[in-house]
Amino acid sequence: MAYGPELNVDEYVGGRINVDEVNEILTEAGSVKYRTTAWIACKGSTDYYCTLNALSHERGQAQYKSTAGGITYHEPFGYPISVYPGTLTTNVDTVFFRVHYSGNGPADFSAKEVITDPPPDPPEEPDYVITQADMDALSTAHATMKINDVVATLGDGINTDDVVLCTAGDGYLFYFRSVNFEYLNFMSETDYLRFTISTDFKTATYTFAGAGKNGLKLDVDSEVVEPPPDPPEDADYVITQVDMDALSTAHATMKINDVVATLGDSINIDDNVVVIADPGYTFYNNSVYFSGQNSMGEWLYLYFTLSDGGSNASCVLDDSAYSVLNVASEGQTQVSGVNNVYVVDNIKVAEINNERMVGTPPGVYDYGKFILNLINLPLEVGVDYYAEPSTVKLSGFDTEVLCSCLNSDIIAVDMGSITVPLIDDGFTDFKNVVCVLRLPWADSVLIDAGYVVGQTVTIKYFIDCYTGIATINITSTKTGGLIVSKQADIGVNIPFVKTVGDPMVSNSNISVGGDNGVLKPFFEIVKDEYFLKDGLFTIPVIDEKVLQGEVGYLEVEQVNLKVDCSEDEKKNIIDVLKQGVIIQ
Amino acid sequence: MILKLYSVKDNFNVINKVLGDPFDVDIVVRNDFDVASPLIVLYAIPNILDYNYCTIVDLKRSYFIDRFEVVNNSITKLFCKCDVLESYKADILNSVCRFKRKFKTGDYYAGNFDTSSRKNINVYESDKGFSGDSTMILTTVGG
Repeated sequence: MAYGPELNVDEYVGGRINVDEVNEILTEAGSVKYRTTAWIACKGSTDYYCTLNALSHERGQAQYKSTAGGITYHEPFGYPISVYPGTLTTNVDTVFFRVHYSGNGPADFSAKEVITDPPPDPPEEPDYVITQADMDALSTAHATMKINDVVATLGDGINTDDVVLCTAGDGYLFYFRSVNFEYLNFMSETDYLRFTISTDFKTATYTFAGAGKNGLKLDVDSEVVEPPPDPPEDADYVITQVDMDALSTAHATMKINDVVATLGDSINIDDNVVVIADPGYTFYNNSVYFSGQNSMGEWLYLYFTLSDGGSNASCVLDDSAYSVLNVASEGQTQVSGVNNVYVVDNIKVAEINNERMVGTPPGVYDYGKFILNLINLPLEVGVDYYAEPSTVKLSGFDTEVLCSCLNSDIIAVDMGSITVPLIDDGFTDFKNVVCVLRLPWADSVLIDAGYVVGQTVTIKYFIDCYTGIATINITSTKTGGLIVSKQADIGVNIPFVKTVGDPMVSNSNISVGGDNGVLKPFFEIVKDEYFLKDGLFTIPVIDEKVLQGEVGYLEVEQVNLKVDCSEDEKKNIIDVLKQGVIIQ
Repeated sequence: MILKLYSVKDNFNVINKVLGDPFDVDIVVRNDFDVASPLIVLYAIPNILDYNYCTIVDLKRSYFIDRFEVVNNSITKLFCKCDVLESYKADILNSVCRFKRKFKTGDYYAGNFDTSSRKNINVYESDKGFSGDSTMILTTVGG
């Protein structure tokens, strides 16, 4: 048996070869019968995979061997011969595939595949794949996204700890909480993984930690930035969008010579500039100042003077060239005692759970006993309630888990106003009218129509962060004050406090909030249906005056008749009037 | 004295009756004329039975024609009765009355209407409310 030449096919390393392409080299023909043997040598780095087939044949074999040993396997033609990754030692750098053929006619050999590199591992599923909906959301918000500094496109994957950066397009800015990954939490409620918005609102970043979140999707929005008006030519300083943003971020407003400043307003030398902190916020030393560089590149500062306990800052503009207003404030905390109120999510809760246990068994101390409550409120807490983020503290123990803080343990939620118009402008709007006020997460309230119809009713929730109990105050323009006050437990308590040694999680502190499917308060005004209200002979109203101007059917009970006629005619007139007349 | 004959469709208890076009007849009032319930004898009035109402301006009165009595082919007797509502309507409308009338806008007297067994329900929604989002709040004893 003559073997054909060994063919080194290094050039195919990493690719595929087809025996047909080198058939004339590999094939020998006999006088009567054809017989051929060919070796194909393949080099690779580790393992090999091969499948050989003869398209037409009578008998033969396909074999392989490696330099590390003899022939190790063979199969008749027509069956694939395969060396799967891992079956050869990793030191083997050459494998030979030998083809035998013996038959009555020429044969065509082909290799389905000769792959000198191991079959690639199937790509790992990323934690998140960018969808068309995400791309649409970015497009709608005029924003772009990068993942680890690489521009993201449809189908790109995001993995844990990848840095996701969204950038607002020209003329657009993000705003507070406008960029998030949205998902359904364990209660099937929408929750968010918040991006951190930059101070200039141009970018939003998030270190991805959303693996496994249910229904994860990108939620991004931006707002148009109106270009600032052209500054007056003689202005010494012009308020820019950056200044307005700084004021907004610091919860402050500005007045120039007692006039509220707006974008594009000019400030001239000797103008009196006052920055006023919103209620609940104060400035601190050197937190309000103008800054800029002179022609020598030196930085110049003009610090405002604080007054009214830090709620006001004022200065008189001098002749230096300032370019930017710097404003910072801090929220005044209205949390009772030394308690803390944090906004957390499931991840933060898990981190706190990891940190609260100190020591090793059996000497574990659980600082969780200093957790007062963990509740889920069915609302998004307003921006005004957010203080500077802080690490979660359990009494004197700092968990070092950074969370958003609230500056008050009572959250006031304006649930809006409802104006109920008069339909008939008459007693039909009130008689037998039942006014049912349906409230989110609370029982309905029956309110007398006198407070409701033709009035505006305002609803406010004051929610106790410790208990989730909302005090619901309802006022009416009828009295200008409170008409109903009631309480409802709108928080869903989450079992969290479990001390070491407890046999199981206690459910005693779970109380199901009253999710009644109502998001906005609304009135149901239930009225009788007066089906004969416009009937000619339906006369429910008593009146007393002259008949002039009246139209329709009426029945006179009493009349002071002033008529120059006979007595009989007077009696006749009165009788007819009492029986009922129609004035047309 | 002119007698104006009318064909009136309005009921007896209507004030401001629609009279239509009159048919004028010159009449002579004789003795024993009862102003409140006159008997009027007319001669050769075409289609006299088509009229049911009349006025005598000189007497400042309007009359219902209660009934007819045909004396012969030419003479018909009209038995009339004074319509006090039309005859004195100006004074009646300017007299102060206590009366019951239909409902009008601005009426807050709690009258009684006939009601059906059905109810009308109108819904008015607030301009604000929960967004559907939620916030998890952790409260701790601070250090």
